[in-house]
Amino acid sequence: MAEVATVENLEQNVREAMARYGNNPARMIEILQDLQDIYGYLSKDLLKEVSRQTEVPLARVYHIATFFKAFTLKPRGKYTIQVCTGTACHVKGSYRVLERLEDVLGVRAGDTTDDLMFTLETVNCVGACALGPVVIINGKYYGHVTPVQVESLIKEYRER
Amino acid sequence: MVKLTIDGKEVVAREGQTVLEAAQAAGIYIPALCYHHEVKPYTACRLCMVEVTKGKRTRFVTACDYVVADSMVVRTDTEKVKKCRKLVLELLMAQCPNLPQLQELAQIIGVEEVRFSKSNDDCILCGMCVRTCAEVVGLHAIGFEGRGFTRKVCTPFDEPSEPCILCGACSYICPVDVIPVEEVDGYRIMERWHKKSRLVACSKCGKYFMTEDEFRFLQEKTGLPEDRLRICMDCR
Amino acid sequence: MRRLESREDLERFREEALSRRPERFISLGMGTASRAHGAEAVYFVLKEEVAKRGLDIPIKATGDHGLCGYAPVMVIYPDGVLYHSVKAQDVPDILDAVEKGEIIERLLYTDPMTGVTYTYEEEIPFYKKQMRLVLGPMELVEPLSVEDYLCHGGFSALTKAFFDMKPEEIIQEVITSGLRGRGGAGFRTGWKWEDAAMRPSPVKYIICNGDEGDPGAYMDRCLLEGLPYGVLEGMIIGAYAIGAHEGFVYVRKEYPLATHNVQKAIETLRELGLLGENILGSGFDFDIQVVRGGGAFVCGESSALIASVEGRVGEPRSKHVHATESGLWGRPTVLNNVETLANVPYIVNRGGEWFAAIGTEESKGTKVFSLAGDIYNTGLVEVPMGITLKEVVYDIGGGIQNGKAFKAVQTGGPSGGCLPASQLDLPVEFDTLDAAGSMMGSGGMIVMDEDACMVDVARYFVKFLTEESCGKCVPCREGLRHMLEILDRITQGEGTMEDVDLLEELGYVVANASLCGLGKSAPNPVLSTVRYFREEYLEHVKDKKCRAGVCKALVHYKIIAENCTGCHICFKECPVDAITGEPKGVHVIDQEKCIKCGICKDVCKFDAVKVV
Repeated sequence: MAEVATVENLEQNVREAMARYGNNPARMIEILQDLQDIYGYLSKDLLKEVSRQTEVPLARVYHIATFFKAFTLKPRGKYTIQVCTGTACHVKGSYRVLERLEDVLGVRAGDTTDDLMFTLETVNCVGACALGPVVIINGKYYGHVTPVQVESLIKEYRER
Repeated sequence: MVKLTIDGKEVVAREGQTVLEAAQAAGIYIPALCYHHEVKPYTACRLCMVEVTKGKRTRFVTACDYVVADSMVVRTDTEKVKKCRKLVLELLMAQCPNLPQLQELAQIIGVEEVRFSKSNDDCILCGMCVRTCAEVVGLHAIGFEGRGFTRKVCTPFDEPSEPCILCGACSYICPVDVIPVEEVDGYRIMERWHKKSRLVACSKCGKYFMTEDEFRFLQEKTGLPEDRLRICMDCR
Repeated sequence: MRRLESREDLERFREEALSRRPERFISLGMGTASRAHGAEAVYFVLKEEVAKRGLDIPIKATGDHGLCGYAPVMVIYPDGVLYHSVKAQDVPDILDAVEKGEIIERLLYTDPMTGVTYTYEEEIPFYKKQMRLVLGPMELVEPLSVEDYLCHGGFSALTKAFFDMKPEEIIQEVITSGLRGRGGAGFRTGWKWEDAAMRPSPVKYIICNGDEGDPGAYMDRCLLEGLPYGVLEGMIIGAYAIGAHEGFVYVRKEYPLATHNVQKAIETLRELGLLGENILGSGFDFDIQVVRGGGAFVCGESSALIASVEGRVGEPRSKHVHATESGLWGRPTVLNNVETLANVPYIVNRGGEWFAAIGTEESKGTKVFSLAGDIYNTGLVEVPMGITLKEVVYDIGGGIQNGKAFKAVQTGGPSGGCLPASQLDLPVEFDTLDAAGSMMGSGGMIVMDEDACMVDVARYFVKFLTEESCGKCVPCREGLRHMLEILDRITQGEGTMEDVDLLEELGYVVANASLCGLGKSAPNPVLSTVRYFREEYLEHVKDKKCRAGVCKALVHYKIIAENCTGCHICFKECPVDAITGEPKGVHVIDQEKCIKCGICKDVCKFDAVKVV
């Protein structure tokens, strides 16, 4: 579960993340990835703290955080549902699975449900093409997913 | 000295000069929206693309960063150049339909209609302001957000940017003039960056001549005594 | 762990490893695809059961075996019996059979087209037409076992390079081999190395590009997961050849297992003294760091990748100056793709001439493809260059599933194109594929049957690229946006003939005027489909028809009364209650309510729901 940010732990976690990469600001992308792993997302305070400690201008940190798909500036749900939209999955109908998920969850890809249970996102090919369409929920792979299965799959996670 | 030909005309250029600079010096027009000699070439607008032949090989390159070489042959008027130039401008006009600078350019290079759906942006994303702030002023007060066509130029989180001193360099350099600077009631205001700063009056003539943020910035940077800094350039 | 101080140390280590090498062992594919198929459960039960029975059969958890569609795949050595789709409950039977020397029929591979069942891996047509050079050791070694890698000749190329060859001789062999970059563009690796080597800079870098962003390609993931030492050995040799002392492996963050394995492999090599200072007493220093990408397709482009390693946004820049002259932090930098580097040890060991004898005049060696889509045998394949597309699709891929008709094969991912049946005799070569309007790309190969709509496929790729464009240059950022808009219009039945022409015009300008490779190749999926499947575009525009039944706006779902048994399942599953009908009666879809999600068609067991 994501850690809740406080002034102290932000300061410390940023310091530790930087130390892991030899205090080299060139490793910004990985520093941010590690911090996102801790907090679940990149908050404004966090990015400001990163900028302060790395001495990389905030405008540049902000561009990196909004440029790469790995980063999110909004809190995420308890479960992240990733729909692979790689070519093989697309040809096998992953867009239909995605549409169904959007319907059932009531959010668009890239968004999080209001109850902070689910974040729905698309992912560019996870390299499990033989399994298409692939859906990954918090790291667990589901292969050959059909729109019919979506509802019960979501229900299963809701009731956990 | 380097000798090359541009559109059949013999041109002499300095070593290390770009094709664009050489062309400008020779009075040959090449459109460019993201180029200014004060900042590094960015090669983003793609309007300055020309055909360059060196030896047997012809390449389609950006004039703003392509360095001249002896006996190079440059063509700025081929079908390919015209076709790309026109469509690129047409795309920009679809993105920012209300910029007079683009309309003027359209007259010069012959874009008659815009066949694409129009957006309502005013920024062509040339990055001139961002680069000037970083490279010339050295402040990185503004930057880009996101990628693709959702990319935009803004301050971090679209909030008042802390480092911004309202120097107005971004406004000065903007090729489409969409970064207004206003001075009202003793304040300088830059709406686009959500920033406002009190103006400092010259201790001699009493005219406003810089913002307090600029004053502090200069004080720090130059280490000059305060009373000297409070005098405007005209009165010094 | 011991530290190897010299070549002799390494050879002694190899001898020991070879003396311990088992004759009989079970190899279980455990790459990402296999894990997604439940290979981990099989592995644990297998381990447990072997221990319980006190059997002396080592279990090797290897990279994927290639036949990903049939994972988990298990091969029992020394005979090479291949079992597929193995489940945990099959394990006791398998071990019984191994002990008695029997074969379990039900787990053997049966060719879906011919119905022939095969016992041994090498007989299976999927493997027979392949030339598994780079992938060869994949199923024989545990990815992180140095001993396994040594048993298969590991690091012999490295010692040969270090102690028997001068850097320029290595480069010469690579030039002779004709090896071209496997990442997409096909630039000659030897020339790249030569250019970087001649630069006088005291600091140089080598970067292994593992930012495999092509949606539908996973060769590099499998190599990094299954054979990290092979890739790293190639990289160390490259570094020695050009005089680099620092290297980076750039891996996509979407590949956690690959990142983990490469990281661990690097740590092991450091401990062994195969990375770090004075490698094997040669006097050569070299170390490697893993850099995790941030999830941006454009970072596969060299200048964007370099920007990203420098800690900046992945934005490309002009490449009038090559990275080999001024790359990472302004220093001479060689960027090689994962598969390219994995080829290097073979070239050093067996010579450039040997390598150049494989393949065709301009494309040498083999190429790994990830074969996916509507074929029977999806998976990772390695073929000699020059093999025809037909051989790959039919002989290796096993042909089109469910008796459907072939429509297109997509190569090169978003930078490539779709080739129709008439082009199936084309040899797989860099230049031939380019000329046909597609490209080799990094090795994604997706086969589509008649149910794929080519306009939709083009739209799919353009949408992908629109989202992945960094937005720096105008043609790519704005041009792709409008190409997508036009394709949206066409797939919604609102396109005009002018739209098709405009697409081609936009394609020309985006291809010629864009800043980097992403933009330059972005129109390929559109231009190739307009070229080979123009009639499908015309149908969408003029007749407002999508023959594949994919474009929602142009189709509707209908229940064929004769086929409907009134099983009522569609009624129950329809998410918007658009279906009416009593059990045992004929059902009807209310077209007003129907959202065309296709669930009714998916659940109908009687083929009563049709897309018209």
